[in-house]
Amino acid sequence: MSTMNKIKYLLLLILCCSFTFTYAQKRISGRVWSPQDGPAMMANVLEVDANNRIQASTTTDMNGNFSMVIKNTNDMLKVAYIGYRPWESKIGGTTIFKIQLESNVKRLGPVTKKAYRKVKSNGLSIPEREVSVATQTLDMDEMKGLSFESADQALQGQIAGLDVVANSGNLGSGMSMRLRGVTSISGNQDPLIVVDGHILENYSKTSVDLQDMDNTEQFANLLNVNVEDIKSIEVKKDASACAIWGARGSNGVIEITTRRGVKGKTKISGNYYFTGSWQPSGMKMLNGDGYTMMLKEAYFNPQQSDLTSNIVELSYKRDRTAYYANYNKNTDWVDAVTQLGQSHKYYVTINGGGDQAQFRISGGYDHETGTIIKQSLDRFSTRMTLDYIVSDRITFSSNFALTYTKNNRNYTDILARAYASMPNKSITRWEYDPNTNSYYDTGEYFKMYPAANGPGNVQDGQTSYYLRDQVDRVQWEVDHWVGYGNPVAIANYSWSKVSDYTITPQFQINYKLLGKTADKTMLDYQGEVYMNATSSSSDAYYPAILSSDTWTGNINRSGNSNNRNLAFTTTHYLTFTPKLPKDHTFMIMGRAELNTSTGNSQSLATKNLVGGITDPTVNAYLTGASTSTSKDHSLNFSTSMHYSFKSKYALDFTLRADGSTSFGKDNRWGYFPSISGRWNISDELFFQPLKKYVDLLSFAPGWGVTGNSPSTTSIIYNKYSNNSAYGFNGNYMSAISPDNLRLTTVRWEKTKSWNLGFRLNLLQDLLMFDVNIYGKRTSDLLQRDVAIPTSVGYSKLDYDNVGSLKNNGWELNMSTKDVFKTGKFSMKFRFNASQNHNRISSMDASVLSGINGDFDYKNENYLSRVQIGNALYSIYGFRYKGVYRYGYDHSGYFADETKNALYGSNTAAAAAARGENATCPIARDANGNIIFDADGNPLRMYYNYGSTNYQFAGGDVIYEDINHDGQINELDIVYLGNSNPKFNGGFGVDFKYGNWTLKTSFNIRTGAKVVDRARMHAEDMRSNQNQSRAVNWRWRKNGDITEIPRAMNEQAGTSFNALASDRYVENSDFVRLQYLQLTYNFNPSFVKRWGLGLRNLSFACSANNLFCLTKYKGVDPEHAAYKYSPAFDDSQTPVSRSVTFSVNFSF
Amino acid sequence: MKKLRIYKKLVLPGCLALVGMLSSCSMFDDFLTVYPTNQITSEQFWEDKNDLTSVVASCYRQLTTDGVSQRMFVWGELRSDNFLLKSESDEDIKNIMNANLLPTNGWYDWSSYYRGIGLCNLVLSKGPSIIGKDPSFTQSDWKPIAAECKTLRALYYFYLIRAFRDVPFNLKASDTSEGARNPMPQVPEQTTLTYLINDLEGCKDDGMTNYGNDAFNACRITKNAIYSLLADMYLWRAAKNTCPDSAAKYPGMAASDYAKCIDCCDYVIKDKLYQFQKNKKRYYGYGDDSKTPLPMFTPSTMGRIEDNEYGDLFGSKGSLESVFEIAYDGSNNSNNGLVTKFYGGMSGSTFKIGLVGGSALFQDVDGKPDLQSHAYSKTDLRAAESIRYVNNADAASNSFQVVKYIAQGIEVLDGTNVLKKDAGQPDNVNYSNIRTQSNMDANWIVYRVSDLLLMKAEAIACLYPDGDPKLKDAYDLTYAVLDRSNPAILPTDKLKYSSYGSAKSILDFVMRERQREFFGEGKRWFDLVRIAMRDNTTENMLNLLSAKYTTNASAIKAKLATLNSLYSPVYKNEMKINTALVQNPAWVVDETIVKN
Repeated sequence: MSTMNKIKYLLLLILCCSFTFTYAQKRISGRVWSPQDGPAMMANVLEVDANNRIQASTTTDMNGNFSMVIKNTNDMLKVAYIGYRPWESKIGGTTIFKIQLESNVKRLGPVTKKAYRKVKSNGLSIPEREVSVATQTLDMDEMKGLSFESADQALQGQIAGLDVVANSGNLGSGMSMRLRGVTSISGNQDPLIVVDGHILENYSKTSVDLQDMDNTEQFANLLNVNVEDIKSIEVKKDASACAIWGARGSNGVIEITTRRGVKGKTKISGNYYFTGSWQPSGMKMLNGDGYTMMLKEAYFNPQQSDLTSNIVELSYKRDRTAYYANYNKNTDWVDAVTQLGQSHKYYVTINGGGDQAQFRISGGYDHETGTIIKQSLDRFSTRMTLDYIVSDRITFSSNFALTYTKNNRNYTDILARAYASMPNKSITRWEYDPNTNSYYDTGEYFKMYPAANGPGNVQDGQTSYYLRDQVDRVQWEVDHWVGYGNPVAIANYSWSKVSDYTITPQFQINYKLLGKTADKTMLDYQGEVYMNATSSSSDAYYPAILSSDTWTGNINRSGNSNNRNLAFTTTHYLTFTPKLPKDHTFMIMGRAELNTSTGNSQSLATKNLVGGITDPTVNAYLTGASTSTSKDHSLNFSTSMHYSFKSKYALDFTLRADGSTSFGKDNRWGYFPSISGRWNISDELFFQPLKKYVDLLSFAPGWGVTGNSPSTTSIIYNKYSNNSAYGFNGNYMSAISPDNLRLTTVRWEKTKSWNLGFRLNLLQDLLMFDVNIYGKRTSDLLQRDVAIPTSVGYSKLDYDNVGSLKNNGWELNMSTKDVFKTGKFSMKFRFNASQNHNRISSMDASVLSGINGDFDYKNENYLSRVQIGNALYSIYGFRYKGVYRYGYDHSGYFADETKNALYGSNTAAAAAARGENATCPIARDANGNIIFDADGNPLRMYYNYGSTNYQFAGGDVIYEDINHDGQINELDIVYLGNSNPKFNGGFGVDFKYGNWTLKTSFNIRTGAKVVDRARMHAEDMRSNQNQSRAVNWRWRKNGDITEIPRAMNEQAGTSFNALASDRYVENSDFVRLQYLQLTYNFNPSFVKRWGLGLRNLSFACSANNLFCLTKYKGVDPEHAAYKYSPAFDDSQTPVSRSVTFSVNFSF
Repeated sequence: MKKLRIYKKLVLPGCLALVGMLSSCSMFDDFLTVYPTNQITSEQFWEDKNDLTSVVASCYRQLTTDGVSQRMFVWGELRSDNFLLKSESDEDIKNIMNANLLPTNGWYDWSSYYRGIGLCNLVLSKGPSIIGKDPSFTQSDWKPIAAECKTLRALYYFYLIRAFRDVPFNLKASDTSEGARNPMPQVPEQTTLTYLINDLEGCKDDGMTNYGNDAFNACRITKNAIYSLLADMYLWRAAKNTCPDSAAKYPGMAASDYAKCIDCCDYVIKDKLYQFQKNKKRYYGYGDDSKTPLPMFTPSTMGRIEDNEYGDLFGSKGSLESVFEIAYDGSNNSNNGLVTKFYGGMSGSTFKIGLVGGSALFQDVDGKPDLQSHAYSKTDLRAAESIRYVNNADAASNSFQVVKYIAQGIEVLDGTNVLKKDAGQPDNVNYSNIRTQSNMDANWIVYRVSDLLLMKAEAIACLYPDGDPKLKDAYDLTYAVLDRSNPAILPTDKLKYSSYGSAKSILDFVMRERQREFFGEGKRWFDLVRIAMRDNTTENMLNLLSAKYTTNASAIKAKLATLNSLYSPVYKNEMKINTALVQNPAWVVDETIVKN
């Protein structure tokens, strides 16, 4: 039987049981009035049964009279009228009712009832003061008036222990989040995102590219939830809080709760935001003149020859009219591709309801343009919630959300190209007019001519051979492009569009089977059905106009990929709360969840399309086509228990059993238990004396297990693929071969963790502290593509368990209520801080050596390396020690004195005698003494002696010879730090004066090292890329003291000035002003007087990322790390600075 | 009453829970069993004979991949005296050519061979289970398939043994991750070789004799192919066991292996001869009836010489003279990456040269056959088959291109001087239908009749002492191979048996003939290793190699002084993962070279 059928059947049963029928009928009538207003017109008159379920209803006429047929005389008659207190009475034998309503303006006397705020924890609703797990909640009402693209931005700097780093400042590129460090090396390292109890799966992410799930340019999934719809975000940190998510919870859980309707008069509110954003200023690049000088030197230095005399693009020759005016500019490419980004957001909600039903409908539309030209994002989102209370026992709820996002991206990373492009090149093409002997601007974008096949003087219509990397040539894969082209033209003519529809309907029924309120034994059932239908498509086009390739070459390319996914989840809860003697509370919940998903995707790529056509389905040269389908099931059961005594001692237990299709029969089920407790010390008798100052002191220890399973399915089967055919001359045998080894031994990755939580509230909750200390140990780390001895017949296992990881850390979260209250003035503080220490504690030696490749002795390549005892994201490289001031012949240490005398006092020996910097490339032993050869001459420093044999020269970078063997080789590579933050935190101060509020929020992140590859490319003078102005301080002649080596173009000769070293490893410590917001709320009474029906009106002005205090030399210190590799700055678009104005009003 | 109501309310959830629990165990398992939607799994596969043969096809297809075929050349011939480097674009190839064998060199990655072995193992393990499932598939249908896969497996292993000597020996079909990561140590060559020989001895008569078409008869394993591989393995084991140490360990084994090699060769020669005679009308010429007939084509000698044997073997492919060749069709399935990468081919309208070209031995011809200054004499058609000498102004960079496999037909205008180089003259050799690099459909020949003839000659020359009349057979066989490629030879230039007095001189003649006959066919390096094994020293072999190393010769000789150095280093990446592997002592790199 198909699963769908089973579920339908189940639902039908549930629906049936909620209908019961009674038949006694009788007619009643009456009049409703009030002493103040006379007859109540259009008042609701209802017959309700014992469960508060409506049996019959009517409304009163103009005179307040009503008449209706009732079903049961035992029912109650209720009358509801806006502005009056509800009236009710048993019907009994009465047939004519005279009902007098009372105005509800009348105040009731004070009633004190001790009740604690209840929160949902592990599926149970328990008082907040009994919560024994580590969580932190962000109330989105506090964020009103701030403009965020998605919820992760709002979380940045707010949650202790959550490290949120922007992937890039491009629109829709999302954030990378790490909660309490990294516990997994395969698959996703981001926390699980849960919206209203259901996992927000990123189908477009997983189905597009399984090998590279963390690709920064993926669709940011959180865009599917409009920030305005979010009521609160709860971050679940420790194992006890996440255990209910079992196999999905090991990276932590972020639970988003959306807003629902509230009882009351229908209220319409609207928001409008306008945001202007711009990029922080980046590296100062050379202008055209400085670039030409630098490049000529870079070509001259390696061979001391005039290779560049033939590079017409650098020669400014007036007689080469095809080149002169196109290569004599001072173009600021970065300026040409950046702009003031603008965003308009409109958001409307309608919200209201009565006792029986509450609803909320919201609609939002955003239009944003990026800080890089030609980027834009449009989003339409709507969400409808409805809660229908059928009776005291039965409630139906639904939540229906639809999001459509369309993201117009650049075809490639425009900013990186802008940084690399030749600044003496013109943006538009200049044409020579021989009649006037002058040049005019044609207005077309300038496209470099096709590159010549070899060095030498070129004819008109060719680009010099050495500059071929500047010519437009883009490979289909965005990340492996070569050639920088004309960034402005590329941004304008090529495109990449991603659009995504997501529909998530959710239906829920709650049924109280036994008691209706807490004073009786309760057994509550909750059933949910949730669907997630996603359809996304991406298109890209790169026209011939940008390419100097031939017509048969790789031009006019177009690609399209589509994928669709439908997931269906049903969840059933049964909660039992027995009535126990006073002071004891016990609850137990059982939950079963079943999930099925199916998906399909297809992609198509063509080239040589006929000009103007961008659709890849037309007849052209097909370069790639694929389709795939997928199907997955999962099943899980969980139970959680809560017991408390006098609300002073609480104990929680959770167990989840996860069934996964990724494992064979023996390992199919993973069990994830957790246990936690809480002791409210401040409730103890002995604590009484301190009670005056201390409101709450609690201690909550917890322990639990969470896990992770392989993210690909069907790895437990031997899969067979078509392998073409064997034979010739028309005789063939078709071939099929197996692709993989079936995984039978892979186990669940498990993270065992403990947490000690302390809470302290002082001075009537004026100061609140929440401290957590934790330790996590992940064992059976899952690794993708584990290499095996190839003599098995296969080279890898899809997955295996390979090692273990450790994370330890602490978190502090502090907040205050209004302090320093004087008159209308008050202020609030928030502060959070956290530290996490990550360490790889073990890994199989063969896996390690499989991951750790040999150093390739090439420039610009950092080793990708995993080392036991070090953290993930570690950086390894040489130590940079400056630049050799003197060359070998200027050493002054030769046996032959005449050779020493040749350069007079301009030698290292003379400089050493003067006590100056006397670096020169000669080998020294551990004591710093020069090593001499048999002839008495100093030994020269070599790079990789015996293989590369490069002799270091004056102006070359000095790498520390760690082992003093007179050469620089892989044995001199050392650990240079890692990209994990040492300290992470945020703080904010909110000021309030009357109707004015000023909110601030800062984010601090220290200790994370970033490899500034953007600066490496902009300072190494090895390529034709434009360089930063720092290279003006480059070494030019013996005796120069500088930090910047000589210019050595790689095409003209070998040099090793850009080896992986700490020269480019930078501290990314920063303090960022996350936002600053000023709001003015009009007095409701004041607004009401305008008579427009307005209820509330507020204006706000906020600035995001206004400044960032950092010593980081790149544009932006925020860079995310993935898998093993550290964080690299590749001049991704930085997070922009922005100013937002917003209006918020309601009717 | 109230109790009853509660009870009533609990009936439904209770029932649901009960039903759920009862059905759960099997239902959940079914629910969590999700088969991939776009691929077949082993559960649905292995049903009938078609499934089996399509995996057998994959065993063959693996031979056509660059990972396997290019290494046949790199391990089997690149290091020999046949080639010089023509392009330095591949650093790793350059290192091998300079006798700089680094364990980090990717050409020592043997994974593609083990992939093929794994596929053979898989067929061998699954085959018997099909017999029960597919009623049309019987034990007698299975036997030739089993023989086919055992032979292919032996062929894969034989390449590994010849290239690395001791290698991990895996006969198990792995399909699960169970134990997949366990280290797998090397097994001594003798053990592996003996197993493979016994394995083939056991199935050699199960092999197919006719697949029903010429193409499959040439490109699939036949009975003849099994015998040929056996002959080759016997020859190798005999050479290996000639040295005093091994001879003491395995007394008499070398002699018996040579005898068995001769038997195996005889079987194939006899069968081929029978087929040639049967098809006498179809194949117009197969040697001179006046001499001992041999199953070989001969060139037509009417005026211009049409090189029939070349055209048949390397041009139209699937020749009767061929015993086993790896099939390429250049379009649908596979491109011969070996030929394209190392020899070249047409690209557009120009002849593109590959990584290697002919060495000094091939750059000129001698006046008479079997002189040792050059490989070929001026009348030897194989000079034109092997090397394309370009007779024009800027020939320097283009000359001495390997042409074997690339041209489909060869015609020589003047057979008395094949490589005529008169300026201003039209080329003496016409190459027709040059294969393009993008459509390289040349089949790679593994065994052909002349190989069997020369293997037999080699075995005889090794087996019999000086003066034994049997040696004449070895000479005759070798001479026959030489003679058919020299149609225009002057009678005065013909070789005489009397000038080859000793067994040693005949053996040298055989080995030289092998070099001439099999240039560019991936055999010369293994021939040189056999020479060195029989000598128990690399000295003579290095003298032969000296044609190649003109610079830095003494350093290279020192490097190649031990027999170990004839075998390749174990790939470093493989050693990292398979920790039981031991590096070939000749190529152990000192990881910490300290300069001072």
